[in-house]
Amino acid sequence: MRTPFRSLLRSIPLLTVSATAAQVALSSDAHAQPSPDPRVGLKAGWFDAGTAEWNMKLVSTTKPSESFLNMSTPGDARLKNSDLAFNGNLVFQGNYSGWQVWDIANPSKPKLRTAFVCPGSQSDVTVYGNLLFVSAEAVAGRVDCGLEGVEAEVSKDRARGIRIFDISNVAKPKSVAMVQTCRGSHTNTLVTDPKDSENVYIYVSGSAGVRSSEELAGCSALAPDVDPNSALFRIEVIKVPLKNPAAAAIVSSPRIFEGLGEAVRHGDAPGDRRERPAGSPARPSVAGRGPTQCHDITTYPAVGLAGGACSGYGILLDISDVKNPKRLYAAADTNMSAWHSATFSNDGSKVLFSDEWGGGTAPRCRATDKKEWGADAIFVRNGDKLDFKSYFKLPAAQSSQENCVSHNGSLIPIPGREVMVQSWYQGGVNVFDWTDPNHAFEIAFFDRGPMNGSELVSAGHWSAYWYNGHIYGSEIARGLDVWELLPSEHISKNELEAAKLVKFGHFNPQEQPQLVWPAAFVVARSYTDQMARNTAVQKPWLSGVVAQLDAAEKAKGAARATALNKLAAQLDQDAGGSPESARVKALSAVVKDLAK
Amino acid sequence: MNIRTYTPRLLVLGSLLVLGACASGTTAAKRPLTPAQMAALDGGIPPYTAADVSFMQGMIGHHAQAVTMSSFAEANGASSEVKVLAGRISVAQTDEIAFMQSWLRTRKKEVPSGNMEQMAHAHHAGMDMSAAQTGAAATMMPGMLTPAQMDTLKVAKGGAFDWYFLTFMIQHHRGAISMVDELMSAKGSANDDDVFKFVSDVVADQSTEIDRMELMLRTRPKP
Repeated sequence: MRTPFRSLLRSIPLLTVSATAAQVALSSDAHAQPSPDPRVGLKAGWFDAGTAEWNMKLVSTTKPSESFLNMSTPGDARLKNSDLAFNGNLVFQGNYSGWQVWDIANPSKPKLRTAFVCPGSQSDVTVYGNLLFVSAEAVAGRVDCGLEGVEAEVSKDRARGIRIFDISNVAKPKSVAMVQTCRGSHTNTLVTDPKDSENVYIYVSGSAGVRSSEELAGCSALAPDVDPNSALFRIEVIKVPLKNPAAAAIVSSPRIFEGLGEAVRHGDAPGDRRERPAGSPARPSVAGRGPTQCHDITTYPAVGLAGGACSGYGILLDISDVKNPKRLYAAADTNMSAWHSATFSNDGSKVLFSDEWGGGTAPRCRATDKKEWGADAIFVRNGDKLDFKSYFKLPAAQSSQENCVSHNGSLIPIPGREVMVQSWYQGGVNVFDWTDPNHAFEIAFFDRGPMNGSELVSAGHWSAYWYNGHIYGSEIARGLDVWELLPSEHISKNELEAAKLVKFGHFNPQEQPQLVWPAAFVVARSYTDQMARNTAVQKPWLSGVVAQLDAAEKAKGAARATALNKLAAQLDQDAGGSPESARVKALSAVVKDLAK
Repeated sequence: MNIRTYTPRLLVLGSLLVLGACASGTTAAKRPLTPAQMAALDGGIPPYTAADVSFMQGMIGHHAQAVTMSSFAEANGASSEVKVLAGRISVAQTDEIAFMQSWLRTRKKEVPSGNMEQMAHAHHAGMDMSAAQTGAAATMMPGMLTPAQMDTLKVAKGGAFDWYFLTFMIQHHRGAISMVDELMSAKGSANDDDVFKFVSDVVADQSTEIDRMELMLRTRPKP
């Protein structure tokens, strides 16, 4: 869906919205941001660093639990917090030395439920029912979860792959399986098959080296044209029988990179552009190690697609056959270095890829770093292709002591817009709007000063996700942060209330849920607020619609239904000729639901 | 030698740690030592090997040459595509040199300067440095350009520069990847998470760039 957000932004109405009336006041600056940017020059420190926040408020920050906090070494590499997964009132937080479980029934006071020690970076977590899946990649990870590392070049003690735990009693997790893979698991994606309720599937992305076949039979790092069983150029699919998860095993190793030669590159000059549709002949093999693995694969089951962020490519996958994902398209881009993760718009028409240039440990948001590097790249789907539109990067320059690059985030369920929260390591987290794929802009932010003012100590936000009304951030060295998003000129109270109506039972970062809003007046008013902000529709028309909504809400029973049906009929009639046709239709749909 | 190895560490830890106690996934009663306690014991410096140290020292010189190669792109009239690539290599490898220096400094090891000329000068001046730490010796590392190749690159202009830059940088990157391969096959290496993460990133970045450079090379004739 394309929305005329440019015109919207030219003159932004300030909305003061109550339950009964929307008053509109015009503001002249569309992208008003604090100036000077308070993120610049923050005081350094570990737990006492300076902070800056705008349009969002930190409601709690919780230090790592005792097992994972070494106060004598700031930023200890063994004790890095990694990704998050959510289930009910619990948030699972990976750590290079294991994982922690926090109870977030009260987001302003998370309570530790479990600190489970089991080294093996990077411990990205995924949860499904009573099962927890944890990625193990490092050569030091042990099957027995011991701390002593693995010294031998070849060892049966080494754990690289997916650890599976039964968490029915979250205070006493039980290890049920360790599925070993050739390259280990950097991240993992849970995939459910609508046609198969007996099993769930895990797509394993491994970006480290292939281990020796002496350690795990069948592992080969030779080129696929030399050895057809090569562990390169493929992902692993693990089938997990829900009744017997201990029997989890690799069921397929789809070569989603096969035939991947040239792809669309967005270059500085038109001469840099090349195009090559999927399926046409390619060079026999890629020298070096080429595009041999994915970093993240985000599935969006609602549209049957996955976005793979795979080495130098952003890949669109058809996952209708879960065990055999098929590549539809591969985009490459001169400015994109390490494609990292994908986020779909709710209607699936747009995809945002992040670029973790430098692996997340380098300071890539300095004033001297290009805005196109280490940024997000926004694409619009054009059939099975992806058309590049624009880049978006954290707008505030960070110091040389702050590792910073685009990293994990998720959509905030505001109807009619693409608003997301994203982490930028020591660049902090921000919330931005990419409804208009050509012009993303920032809405809110939170940032801390560097860990250390004189040298780079790797830390910052690994990830930040919206979950049932709050934003949760995993801070590598500082623990778990929780924020509330505040209403502002860019997000109305109604939009925020509408976002809070969307409740997830669980949330995994690489398993994107479809956002569905219940019938509610705040959802309808989100659309009217957006039209007011936009100013594309005529004011008297919009005031009339808002007045009818107000009257309907005051009415009861049959009178309310009659008023709503009348409004819906008018909206359906007006939608065709409206400059906000899609939004008017969406509003009509909500109004009809409210009338039921 | 001043390198901390596994054996003594494990003896110490063995008396404190019930090895493998958490296999059943149960709680702290069986695990007397937490990761935090262990980290506090070793001052936040996990075990590392002599191979880890010499890899870091050698790779600084290796990276320094890539930064020097990239510095020619602007003045030698590289195409915009090659300039973008060279710019990114320069930023990336300069940052990585700083990371490797910091890693060595924390462990109180010799820290090579990361500057080609200074390193070569130190060598010519007969300073007492081990072979792996000097720029001149660094030329013997896999993929390093020979002085003749460096001279060729330095004077090549326009399209010829593009071709030599891409050809030599592919060679250079492949060498870096084989250095990682060699490290990973050494006993006990890269058990330190910092080292493991670093070498994984080097391979991921440089193999992606090799792929990209090979595509770029296909449309450029040999001078």
